[in-house]
This record gives sequence, structure tokens and C-alpha cells, in this order.
Amino acid sequence: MVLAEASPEADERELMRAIAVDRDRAAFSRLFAQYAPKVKAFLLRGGLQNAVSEELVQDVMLILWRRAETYDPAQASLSTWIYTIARNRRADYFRRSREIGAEATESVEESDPDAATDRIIEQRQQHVRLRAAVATLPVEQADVLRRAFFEHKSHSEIASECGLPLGTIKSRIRLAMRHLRGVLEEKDG
Amino acid sequence: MSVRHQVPDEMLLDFVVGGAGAGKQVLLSTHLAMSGASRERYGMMREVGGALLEALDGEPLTQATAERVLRDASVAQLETTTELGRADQRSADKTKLCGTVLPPPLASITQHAHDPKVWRTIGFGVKSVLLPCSSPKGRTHLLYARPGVQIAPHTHTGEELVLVLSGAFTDDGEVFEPGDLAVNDSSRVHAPVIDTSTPCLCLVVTEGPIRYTGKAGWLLNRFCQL
Repeated sequence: MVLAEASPEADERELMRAIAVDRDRAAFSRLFAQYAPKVKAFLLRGGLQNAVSEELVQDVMLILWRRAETYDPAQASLSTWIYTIARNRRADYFRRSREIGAEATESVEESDPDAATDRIIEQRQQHVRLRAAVATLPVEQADVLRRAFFEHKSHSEIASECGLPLGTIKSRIRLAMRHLRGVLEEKDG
Repeated sequence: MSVRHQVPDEMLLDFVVGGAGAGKQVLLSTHLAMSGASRERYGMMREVGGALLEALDGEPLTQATAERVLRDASVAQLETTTELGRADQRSADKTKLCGTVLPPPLASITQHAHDPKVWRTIGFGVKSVLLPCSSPKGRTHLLYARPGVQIAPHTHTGEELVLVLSGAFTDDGEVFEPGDLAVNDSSRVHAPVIDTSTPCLCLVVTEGPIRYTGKAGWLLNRFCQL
């Protein structure tokens, strides 16, 4: 537990708390420096122009500032929370999801005020393990996941770009997820 | 009771990355609200997104700065307070429809379904109502079927997702209960039965019309569409 607390993730949690509780601008600047360039890279990989990407980065970070108190470390790591905000902003931009859909998605992620510290630590350890497991996925599975997460492409689009049948793309997704779930369960047991 | 028929991985991934249409988003959000196991898988997939984001090399910013964000924030402070007020109201709003308490993602968009006049009879003991999250590629309905109803044999011209909200149906020997998700397509003909003593309420998203295959198919194809 002591080990878990002395980590960059624990540090990020502290920064988020400082933003939520003290409206700490310096804490915000540190998270901005850490994540804004990554969010921009994510949006550029999704095919957005430079100027639009910067505009959306601005929006994403504004949401982080305003809604910092809704971030629940027991539910998701900070990178995942930011990923979700960026994903939603990007979807809004493409107008793929109408307002109703976006609202519905958010309601799944309501924070649980009673989440125990144990759960926060467990969640964080899982994220660290998952991050390591993602790095060891076979190249072709990791490639499909990156295309899906970053490039905003449907599985049929990915299939035609790779010159592969749709079934192959689907089975790579399933294999990747089975592998990641396996890694998490193995360590849990 | 645990949900046996969960969303398949590739469909869940599409939902996680924001690729699903509005109707599918509502249906899958409702499925997640009803199935703890699916919710856990959703959480894990989202963490994969976070892990991939973390692993990206950042792109240098040319316009966006932390100071600019904070300046924007102070201008629009008032707006936030009203936004949050509305969100609170929404989560308090719970709805019972056809004797079923609907999970929050669905409750807010089914208010009109309380008026019996908006329901359309599409067959013996079967009626439906169109929901506002529909699009041409994903028509979204609530479907209500009385106990004992057998849907005539049919196949699909596009993907069809059926989420059981209450009651149950049996399809090809498999039982679908509340929270269960059935995925149907053009690969097979089926004839689901409501073989319980309670009515079955489902949320259905269809990409294309149904094609009935029996003798009276030509007639049903004209009149018994969702």
C-alpha cells in the first residue's frame, strides 16, 4: 500500500483533488502539460486538422477543470477519464452521436461516493497491470485496437484497409480482450 | 440473477470508442445498467483506451494553453452551475412503463410511450413505439408482446439487437431474460416465443427491415414491420 501511494498515479490523484477542492491553478497547469499534448496526438490520429484538434484539446481540459470533482479514482484511472472526455468531444464534433446517446453513455459512469480506498488501490493496480499487458499484445491485435480507439473507424473500414475479412478483425478483437482479461484474472486469483 | 447473454466484445469496443449510433448507444447503456459483468468488461475496455492514450507521444501545442483554458473557465462559470442542476434533476427521474421500472438511460427518452395512442399494433399481441434516438440506420423501438405470442418465422436484412427489459422469450431453445442481449442478422431464420406467463418488454434496434419467410411472408412483410 505504501508502495502504491508513492506512484505517479497517486500524484495525479492528489492534483485532481487540489483542482476539485482548492481550485488550484498550478495543479491544473501540471496536468495540462502532462495530458494536453497526448490528447492532441489522439485527435490528430483520428484525422482531425491541427486547428480543430487544438480547439478540442482546449474543451477537454476545460471539462477537466470544471468537473474535477466528478472524477472518481475507484472507477477509472485519470488517463481513462480523460480518454472518455476526449472521445465524447470527438464524437460530438463528428455528430455521430446525438445528444441523447451522449447523455445515456454518461449515466453509466456515475461516481460512487462510497467507494472504499481499497477499491481505488485495486482499480489503480489493475490499470498498471492492464497497461503492461497492452504493451505485450501481439502486433496484429494491438494494431486493430489502436485503429479502433484512435482512428474512429468502423470494423469494416479497418478490415478493408488491412485487406482482411471482417471476421478476422472481429476475432483479433476478441483474442485481444480475452488475453487482457486473462492477465487481470490470473493476478487476481 | 446474472445476465447470461452479454454484449459481444467487438460490439462493446465499438461502443467504447464512440462509434455506435444513437439507438445502439441507448440500448448498450441500458444493457450495462442491467448487467454487472458487462459493466466490468466496459470498464476494462475503457481502461485500454486510457492506457493507449498514456502511451502516445504528445504533439506540441501551438494555440491551446492552460492559461487560455482557465480564462475561458472564468467567463463561463455561470453556465456550469445550471448544467449541473439539470443533470441532478434527470437522475432523479424514474419511470415505470408497462409495469417495468426502466433503467435511467431509457427513462428519459420514453416519456411519450406512456400515452397508449402512440403504440402501434404490428401483429397479434405485439405492439411497438418508435423512440426519438432512432436514425435510418438504427431504428429504435420498444416492443411489447403478450404471453403466448409466437413471432412468425423471419430473418433480418441488417443487424438487429434485442434487449429484454422485462419478461422473457425463448429463441431456438435459448432463454432470454431481463438484461439479456440477443444479436440477430441475415444468417438464420428464427421464430422467438413468449413462453412465460408474463408479457415481454424489449428494446430493439434494427438496421434493416425484417423478412418473413413463411407461406404468408409476403403479407407479413407488408404489414408486420417494426
